[in-house]
Amino acid sequence: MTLIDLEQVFLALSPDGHIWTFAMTVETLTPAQWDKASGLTTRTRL
Amino acid sequence: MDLPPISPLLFYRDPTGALDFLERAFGFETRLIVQVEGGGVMHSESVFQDHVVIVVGPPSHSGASPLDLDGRQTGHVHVQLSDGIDALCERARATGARIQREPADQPYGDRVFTCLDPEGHSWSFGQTMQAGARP
Repeated sequence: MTLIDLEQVFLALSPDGHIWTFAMTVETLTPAQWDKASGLTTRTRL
Repeated sequence: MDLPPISPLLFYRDPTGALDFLERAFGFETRLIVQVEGGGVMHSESVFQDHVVIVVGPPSHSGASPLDLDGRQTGHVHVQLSDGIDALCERARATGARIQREPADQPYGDRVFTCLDPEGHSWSFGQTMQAGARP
C-alpha cells in the first residue's frame, strides 16, 4: 500500500524570486488516514 | 519510495492534464495526487526511474505557469536517460511536445534534445553516447 508522509514544510524565496520548499517527514499515514486528517482527496494514479 | 533530496516543482494551470502529458509523452508515472476542492492539485509526485517531479496548480501566490509569463520560463528540467533518446523524442513529438532542439551529439559526449510541454515548461533529455568523454 502507498503511504503518505505528513510533512512539516517551509517556503522561501531566493533573491531572484525562485521558490524553495523544504520539507521534513513527521509522520507516515495511509491515504485514508491522511484524507481524514486533512479533508483533502488523495489518489495514487491518474 | 521516499522523495529524493531535491525534486523540481512545476506550476501548471492544468495540473492533471500535465501529469497525463508527462505519462504519455515522457514515460513518467503518477504515483500520488493530492487534490483540493475545485480540482486543484496541492501536491503530486510523477516518477521517472528513481526521481520525482512535483506538479501543482493552478498557480497561486507567487507561482506561475509559463502561460502566465508570455511563454518565458524561470527554470528548466533536465532528464538523463540510459538509452532510447531518439525514440523518446519521437514519442514526445507525437504526444504534442514542441521540439526546440532535435537530438544532437554534444561535444561533451552526450546526445541531447530539448522541448516544451503544452504549458511551455522547458525540458531537456540527454544520453551519454561516448563513455569517458565527460571531464
